[in-house]
Amino acid sequence: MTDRRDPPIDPADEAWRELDDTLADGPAPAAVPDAARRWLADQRLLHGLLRQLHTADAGSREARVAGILARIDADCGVARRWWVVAAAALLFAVLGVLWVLPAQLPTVEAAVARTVAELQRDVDRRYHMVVVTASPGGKERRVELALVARPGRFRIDGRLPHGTFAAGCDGAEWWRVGGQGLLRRAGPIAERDRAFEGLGDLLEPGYLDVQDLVRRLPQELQLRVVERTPGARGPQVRIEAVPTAAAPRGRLRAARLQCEEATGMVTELELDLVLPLGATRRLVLRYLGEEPAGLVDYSRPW
Amino acid sequence: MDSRALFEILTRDHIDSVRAWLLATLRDGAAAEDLLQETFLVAWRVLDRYDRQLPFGPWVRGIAAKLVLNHRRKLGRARVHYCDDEVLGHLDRGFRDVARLPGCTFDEQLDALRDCLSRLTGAQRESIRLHYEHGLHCKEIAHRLGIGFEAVKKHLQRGRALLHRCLQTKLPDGEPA
Repeated sequence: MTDRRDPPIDPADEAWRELDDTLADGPAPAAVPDAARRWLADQRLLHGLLRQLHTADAGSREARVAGILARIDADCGVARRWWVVAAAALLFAVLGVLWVLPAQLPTVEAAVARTVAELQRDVDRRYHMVVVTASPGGKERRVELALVARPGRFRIDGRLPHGTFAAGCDGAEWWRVGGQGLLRRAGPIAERDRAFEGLGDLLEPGYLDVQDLVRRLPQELQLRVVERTPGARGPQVRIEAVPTAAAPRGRLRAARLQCEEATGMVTELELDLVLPLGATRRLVLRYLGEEPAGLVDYSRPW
Repeated sequence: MDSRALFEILTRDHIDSVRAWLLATLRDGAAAEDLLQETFLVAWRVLDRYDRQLPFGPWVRGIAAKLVLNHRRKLGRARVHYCDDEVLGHLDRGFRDVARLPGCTFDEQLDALRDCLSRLTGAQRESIRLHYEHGLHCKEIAHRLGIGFEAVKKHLQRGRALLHRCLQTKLPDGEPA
């Protein structure tokens, strides 16, 4: 931090402000004046601390540590098998085979961080959601819903066994309308879980906040990037999640995510859950794209 | 204690501060996660060069700095914030000061920052909250607060400068190292 005995630096200096590339999209400056370096470093120090403060949680921290230790252990294994590597290298050289290795997969921490950052963008995203609940006897209930969401807001529309249904949250209050428009309820956002009361446990609001869902996955499950596949909008990475041996077995038993590698956007999310009395549920969320700004109305329709 | 067990302790102790250092240096959070893992892997591979009489934090940040400079050479100035030896040196001194704040872990040391944040007021507090807590870009903050883009940058920079001064007052002797 800046030495307090130094002459005070005016942080409002217009010339220096432009050198602070933490707040701009353009490239970093090619050079900075000597006098600005300390001010720039202090700004960057706080920038890093604030980013850390608002993106750190115990679950993802443990996942990072576990990821590092797993790679170290794998590294040690590779070192012990040096002769295997040497023999393979010799074999390749002798055969003269040109091996074109696939690009390295991203780490799961990087993939999840990229996804969470992308989902944090304040835009309206449209999804198609399918919820299939199976009783222990094998009887299935299937519900299809249209979901539009942005951070802090959502709206779902669909058909349930007893008629059409819509629910939403506009950031200030939740609402729900069913029974051909006759059954209407609304309340403050703190009670938004009530939007789904009486629906036979078909829906839970926790699954509508995709960003929070992805962010929490490393706390509940062990994630790994399993493959990279070509997609219409560039390469996609597939992440699979299974319960850790040490973690308590929660309702969420497995998850599969398909994400655009470049942006981190989740294009498909599948969750497998266990319900009381042996029932199971699969929730599939397919991303359909962004809605043009201003088109989605999250407020209650009455 | 064997090297693996020691390294696990050191990793747990320093992973948050190295991550914060990388987030101060790189634009892309995902790239910071990749380099964070790479930093500790390299540290493990050269652990025999670490002098156990010296603090681990500056040593491992030195490895991170080399990786960041390589990353910058490969990907260009668009991906990495401005870096030169002097700026990195100042930044490192800042992190050494953070390590002197009260608290046993980096997260506990950040309690000082949490307290300083609670003392910010007005547009500076709101701009910092929207930018760092909600991830909004300056343009989005300007739209939301009904002020200009440059005004938002000014609020963010002044807010950070006030937080910096506030943190200094929380050092054990009230003075930076």
